[in-house]
Amino acid sequence: MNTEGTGGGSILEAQELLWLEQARRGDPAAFSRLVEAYQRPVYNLAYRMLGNAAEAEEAAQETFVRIYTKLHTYQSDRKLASWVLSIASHYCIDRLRRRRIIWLSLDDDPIASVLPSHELNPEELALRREACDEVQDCIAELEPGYRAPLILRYWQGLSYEEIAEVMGISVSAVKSRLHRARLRIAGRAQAHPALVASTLALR
Amino acid sequence: MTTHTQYTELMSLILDGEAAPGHQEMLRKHLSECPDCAGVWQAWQAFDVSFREEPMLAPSPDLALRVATRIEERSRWRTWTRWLGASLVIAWMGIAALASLFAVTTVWWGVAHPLQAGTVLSACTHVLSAILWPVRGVEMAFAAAGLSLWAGVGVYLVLTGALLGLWLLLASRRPVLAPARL
Repeated sequence: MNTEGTGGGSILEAQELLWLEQARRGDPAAFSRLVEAYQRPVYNLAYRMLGNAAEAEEAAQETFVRIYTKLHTYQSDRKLASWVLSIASHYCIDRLRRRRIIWLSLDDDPIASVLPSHELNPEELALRREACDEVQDCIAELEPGYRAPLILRYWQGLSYEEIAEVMGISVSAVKSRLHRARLRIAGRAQAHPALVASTLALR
Repeated sequence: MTTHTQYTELMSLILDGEAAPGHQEMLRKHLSECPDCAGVWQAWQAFDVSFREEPMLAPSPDLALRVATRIEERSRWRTWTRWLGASLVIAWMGIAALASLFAVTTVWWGVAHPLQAGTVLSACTHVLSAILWPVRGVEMAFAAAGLSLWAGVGVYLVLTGALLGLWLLLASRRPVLAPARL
């Protein structure tokens, strides 16, 4: 899978389907390659949904275990990326609904590892970190059912139809959830005009 | 007439690149006339930018290895529970077979040697009576409380049997995939 989106191309998709077929026949190396291909989008989805690196790592692992046990249920008429993300998003939504206490670790900071620190001065870095935290806080305010479409739209670059397929809802429900999620976030963004300005200044 | 909510719906579609060509012009015209919607649009654009600039996060490099380990552990656990289930079933069948054999042998011996059987039965009754003495005490206590001990024991046995059967059924289900060693 193309880690920056789902448009990985037909050759890559064919290769992934081949790995899936081999994994179905019990080839462990093929399943590991499949995990490596999808680990980034699955982890990113889990982190954005759960807002905690340790929990996201655990959720990503559990998602892949579920994928392993459901390999035989995959139908080839469906996009593999949609199927994988569907399992991940449903797992995260279930986990969020069950969650009562959030354990946060101060050592976990996956954002720091992907920021291009060598290109930014400390002040820019601090502003970028603040923007990252703000984005995560915005997502955390949304209900689980509204988080997923937003994450799938922004980070996975899925179309409305693909989001509908992943979440098992209608296209009009996707439109409605994205709209409501944005309304909720806009309220927060309007309440923090300075942060909005600093975000735009970093462009 | 288009309401403010319909305009924000339009904004959402435009940000996703899903709006019809004429809708952008329609929104632009409305924003020039409505300062409230213009403020909302500015906020929406700001967070849209910050969301789009957020990087795709990466997990720890050994995630694939950890997944493999977890799958292996689950496979081992499943194998173990299946073995335990099978062992329990075999043990129950063995006990039932032995009990049946004992009962048949006893009846056959009793019919063949009625006098000795009477003596042995009498001795057994005494032994059993001594063993069951504490049970009778408990039974009397239950009876005093208006409860039947044997009814309780029966319910307990039935429930235990049902739970055991359910557990065996779950444990002996075939895995969806042959356990793979990664």
